[in-house]
Amino acid sequence: MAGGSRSAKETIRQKIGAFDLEMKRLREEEERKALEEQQRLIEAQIAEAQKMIDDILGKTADIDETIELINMELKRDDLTEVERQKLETQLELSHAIKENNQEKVEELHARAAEPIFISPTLRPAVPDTKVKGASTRFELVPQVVNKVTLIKAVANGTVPDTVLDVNMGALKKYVNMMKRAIPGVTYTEQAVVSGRGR
Amino acid sequence: METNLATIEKELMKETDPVVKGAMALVVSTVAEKEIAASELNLINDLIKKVKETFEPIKQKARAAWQEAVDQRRRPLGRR
Repeated sequence: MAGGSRSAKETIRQKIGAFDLEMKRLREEEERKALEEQQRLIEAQIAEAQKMIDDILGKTADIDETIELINMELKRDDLTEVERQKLETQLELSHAIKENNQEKVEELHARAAEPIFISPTLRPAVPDTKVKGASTRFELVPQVVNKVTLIKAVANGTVPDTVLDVNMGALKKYVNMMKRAIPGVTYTEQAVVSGRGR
Repeated sequence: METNLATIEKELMKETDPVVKGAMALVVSTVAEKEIAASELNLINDLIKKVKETFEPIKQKARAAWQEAVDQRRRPLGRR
């Protein structure tokens, strides 16, 4: 009787699990797309900032004038975070050139080559699916597709040996068939006596 | 005893059957449907508890009788 209830319980759990898994997949997909879009925007902003800097550098070769022009640009209210970071680095670089500080110039050139980090501002498009009375956790379900590769990984210590179980029935059959030593296996001999059963 | 069990089973089936049928037909494709499924799940949990609690004393009584028979057989045969 409870079997009906139990299988109904299992069915509901499966349905909720399938829904949550699908929502998780959609959420991750949305996050990936949003990150890609954000990255694309940042790259466009970097290109724009670089154009702004190139324009300044193209206007004058005088370092004091360059510094003044950069400072003027930095006063603008409509700068993006990326543009501000780029201009500030260029300003520091111009000061270092003016002070003839070669070490700092090199450091700033290296910094300018680094990717700009802007913390992602993600707005989840897929709603949270938490409800009262049912909680879901996600776990990975392994499937061995190459036993030998797994055994090698255990042998070289990258995977703990607790993940492997020895099939004692098959091992017993094998040693009795081969009657020879097997690496890592020792055995004792026992007498198996049969009688007629009643 | 048998008639009693049959009656108890019939009574419990009356309660569990519609819930099981409803659960099987459930579709979970929105958060609202998930909420319904979660409350169905809790309802089924309560029913399972009720079934277990109803049968537990009956099971215990039957098990004690079985154990007594096993012990009585073991005395002349000896332990295996």
